[in-house]
Amino acid sequence: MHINLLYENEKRSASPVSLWLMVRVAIGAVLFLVIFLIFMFSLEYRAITRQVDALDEEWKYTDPKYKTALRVRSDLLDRAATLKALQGWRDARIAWGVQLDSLSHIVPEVIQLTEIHMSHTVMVVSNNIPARVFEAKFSGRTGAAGSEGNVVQFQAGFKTNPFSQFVESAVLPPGAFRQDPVVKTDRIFEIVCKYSPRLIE
Amino acid sequence: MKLPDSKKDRIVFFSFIGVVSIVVLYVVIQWGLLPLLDSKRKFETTLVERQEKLKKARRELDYAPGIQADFDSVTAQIEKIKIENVFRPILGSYLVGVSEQIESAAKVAGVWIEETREIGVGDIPVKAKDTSLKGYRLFSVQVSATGSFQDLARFIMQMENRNPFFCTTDMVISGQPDKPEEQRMSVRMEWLIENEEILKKGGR
Repeated sequence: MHINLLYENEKRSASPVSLWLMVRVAIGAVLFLVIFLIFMFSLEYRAITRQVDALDEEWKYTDPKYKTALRVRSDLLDRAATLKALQGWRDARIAWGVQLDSLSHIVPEVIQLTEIHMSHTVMVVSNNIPARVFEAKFSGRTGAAGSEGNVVQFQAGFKTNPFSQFVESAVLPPGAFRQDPVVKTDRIFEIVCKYSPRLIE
Repeated sequence: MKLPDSKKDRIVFFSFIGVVSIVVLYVVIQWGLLPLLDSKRKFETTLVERQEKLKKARRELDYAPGIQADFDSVTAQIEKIKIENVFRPILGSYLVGVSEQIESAAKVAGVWIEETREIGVGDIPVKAKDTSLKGYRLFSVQVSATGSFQDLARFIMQMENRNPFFCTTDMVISGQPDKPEEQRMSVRMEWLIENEEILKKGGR
């Protein structure tokens, strides 16, 4: 038989650690943890904001120089394009003085040039790039004897320097080699030279 | 403080503490922790952005001296072309200066200039939408001259050597039956000039 002389509220736990103590320790631990986390968080937060502030300060100092550098880069691109275009324009020409001066080296002595007609057009070639297109017509006269050979020799001269680097083709159009209507013993001819398009780029 | 004596009261007490804790935790998380975390995240993003921006700026500034040197070099080359090769008007007239140049070259080459006629100012043919030569135009004249063939060739060479941007575009050289030693030449010449409209607007 078990007789309990204690009321319910007089009962005590035999454990040295009471439930209430455990609750208080747990609450204390949680509070400590929370405070610790808040502290760590605030430290990290302040560190980040300080870094952002420091970068902002540095940016204030760097920004004007950076903007200037970007403007210079942009201006450089513009000017480099202008310079390239100017050089392209310059290189698109044919130095006709040299061409004319060199004619004496390729015209056989028995040929007399009567007219040189050089014309120029600007055409758009591939990729929308304009080009200078030159064409020159050389009219001349030679004696009947050996006339064909003389004209062919002159025509072949356009395959030599300084013509060869510019002249795309040098042809006698059909009917361009014929008897001189005035001096019947002479032959007159025309050689049409098409020059390679000089791209303006 | 003492815990309630009865088990039932203790359960109610702990439940109350639990509910209050959950509510407090919710309030703290919702209106305290989350905004702070959000703010921290924003700061972190800002930090990364600023760092990237500064890194990019520092890299650009590292290249800046080289770019400035290139810019100076290109500008100097353009200025040299402008000073030496781009034709400038004399009191608003291009023809006066051009005629002087032509006469001077003709004198050296031994060519007789009969006429120098102004054709006018025209645009430079460039690739569509290309604005790199917007600051420049062309001034053209038609020149009639007589001289020996070699002298005419030397005259054209003189003109071309004086200015690499000068261009001969159309030319007719024909012999004169009555003077076989002399040739007549009609030639069209072009000079690069600055675009006055762009100059007035302050462009280059």
